[in-house]
Amino acid sequence: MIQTLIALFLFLFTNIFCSITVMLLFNHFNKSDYVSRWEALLFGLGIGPPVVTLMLYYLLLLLPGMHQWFYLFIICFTFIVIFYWYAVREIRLLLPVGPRTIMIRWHLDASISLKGQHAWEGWRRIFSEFSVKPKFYTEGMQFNHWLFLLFILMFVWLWMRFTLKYPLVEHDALEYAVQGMIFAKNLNIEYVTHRFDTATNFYYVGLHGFSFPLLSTWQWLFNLPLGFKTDFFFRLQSGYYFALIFLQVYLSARRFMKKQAIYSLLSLVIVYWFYDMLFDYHIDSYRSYLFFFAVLCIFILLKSANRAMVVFTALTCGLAAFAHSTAALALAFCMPVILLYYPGKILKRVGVLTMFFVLVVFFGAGHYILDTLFGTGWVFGLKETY
Amino acid sequence: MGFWIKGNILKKLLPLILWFLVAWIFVTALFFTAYYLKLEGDVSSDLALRGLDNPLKLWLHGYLGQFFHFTVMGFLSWLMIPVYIYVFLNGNKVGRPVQGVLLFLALFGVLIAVKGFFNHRYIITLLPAYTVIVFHFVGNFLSRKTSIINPYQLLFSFAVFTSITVLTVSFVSNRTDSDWNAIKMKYYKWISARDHKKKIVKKSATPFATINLLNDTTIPTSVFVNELPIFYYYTNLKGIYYNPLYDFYYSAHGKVKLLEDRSDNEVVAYLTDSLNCRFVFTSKSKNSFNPRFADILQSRFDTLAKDSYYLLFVVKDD
Repeated sequence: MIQTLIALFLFLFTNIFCSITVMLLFNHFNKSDYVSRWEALLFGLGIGPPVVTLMLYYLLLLLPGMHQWFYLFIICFTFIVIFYWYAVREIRLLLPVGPRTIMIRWHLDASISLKGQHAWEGWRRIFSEFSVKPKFYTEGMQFNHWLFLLFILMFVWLWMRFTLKYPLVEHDALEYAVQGMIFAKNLNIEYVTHRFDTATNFYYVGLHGFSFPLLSTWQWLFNLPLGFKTDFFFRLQSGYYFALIFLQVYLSARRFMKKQAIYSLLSLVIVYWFYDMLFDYHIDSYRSYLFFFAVLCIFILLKSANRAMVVFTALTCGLAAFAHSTAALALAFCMPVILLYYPGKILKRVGVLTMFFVLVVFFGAGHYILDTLFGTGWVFGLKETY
Repeated sequence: MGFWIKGNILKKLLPLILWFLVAWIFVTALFFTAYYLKLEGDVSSDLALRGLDNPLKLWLHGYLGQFFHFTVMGFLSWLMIPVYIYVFLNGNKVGRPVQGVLLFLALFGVLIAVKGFFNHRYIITLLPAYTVIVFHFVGNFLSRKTSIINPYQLLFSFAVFTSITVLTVSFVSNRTDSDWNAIKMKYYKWISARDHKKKIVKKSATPFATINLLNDTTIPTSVFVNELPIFYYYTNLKGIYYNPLYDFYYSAHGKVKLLEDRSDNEVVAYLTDSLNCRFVFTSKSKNSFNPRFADILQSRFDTLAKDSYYLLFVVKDD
């Protein structure tokens, strides 16, 4: 029981706290108003785990063999620092004013005052905003939102019931989980022609980036020093990303369908295979979420060109590529599209594309370059279909 | 009567009637095609495992899976075709960002068709984006043509209708003795698939009895693992990882053939002497990938343990 609770805490930290931190950081730098702050936050609720795995990848690649706590500390510390220095300011712009949030706001304003503003300024803001009714209350909850909420609650109930009850038995997910466990035991990522573990004789046949296996590594970095054996964190991921796909579709459709966005969501869910996949532990929801998120970012980038959006689109595209080879191959199409459709003169577009390429390689796609040159050969060394 | 005489109501309903008529003919024709996809082809290849074992299936379920693999993609992806035509013809109206994203998705779709056709899980990546785009463009188009029925409700009803048709065709087309038997068989399979999960040993450190046995027993040698990563996840034992479909096991230096150029006796001798494996951990479904390996297990090995899914064999003592 205690192991499950600790894994749940790890899930809340990685999936919720880290995601919120990244998106608040994005909000801090983003100058475009095409997507509201709340929308950006909701769309990005799954960005935390892939960012954590990317950091873990670089740490295990560049600083192998340290103690497990070292990797955990570096990553947690980085997120907490980012949250406190940048994100904390952004939260103020999101919170509705009410008795329950006043204490949080007081703390945030006090923290801002410590950074040079006068304390009374914070109190003045609290009282001035207290008199304004937040948008959430004035608009009222639409029937559409209630339906969506009901749908999500039903899904969460089924998902938690399933995840608490059934262990990991799916073939593909086990391949990733075993490789992740090996990374955690060896505390090392290196590029080799044959990914063979001499301790167990396990051979990793996966072609794709290490993002999903590293989620298992993240879990086992906690497990190993504490003597735990839970994989609840890893098992929670599939359902969580399915819920986020629902949220993405709902929020995207809501922009043009207003009160009827629920129909698009239901049309997605009634496809038999989609329903069938809901209760499997698999990478599909994880990579589909990241791919769809990358597509949305490309759209927003082309719509409202700004530098923060270039960085963020490169981040989502890089993370999608780091999760799965299909997204990595799709980058070959993404770059010409940016070159053709990004607003501005050709020299500006080339500059943006160069920046995009460098960032996308740094944010995960570089794995495939290393794997092709020094590792298994990626798809170029492929003989069987996986 | 006045309702029918008033021409403008009929005029408003006409696009709707035509829409349903076209959809009905289209869907019926396609599902008859899907029905005949059940014809079997070369079942020995790995494409058979993926339902692509004859040229028709390879094309419709494989390369064109985005449109014809109805159980995976539903039917909304068909409506992407008019969207693409509309955007191609009215590029300036929709704007450059929409053009850019649709071009990207089209190219990605082609990539999946050419390089990812063997795995139908890949095409589902497009489904969320397709759903939003179809609802946006087609819904918008319908709302301009008719005001009688809500266009989004119409699209949703279309999705429900096609999904029900997919399920019905899927049930009926899996014929054995008679259609009704087939439906019963399909239902039974569906139930048993759920039972498979229910049979998992609950409140245990490991999910299956064979794995519990492996953990509890002192096994001095390696275990030959028939492509089951669950072995490595729930035990601390050493295993030789075997791919039954292509008949090779993995070593530190890559792939090594097992059955090729060896008689059954030589295979058993190789397993026990060279690889130091007296135990084989496998499952019925994995055995079916390589009938010869399954025969060797039946004739030269004893079943040490079995549970709802896995089998543990030990070599027979001579």
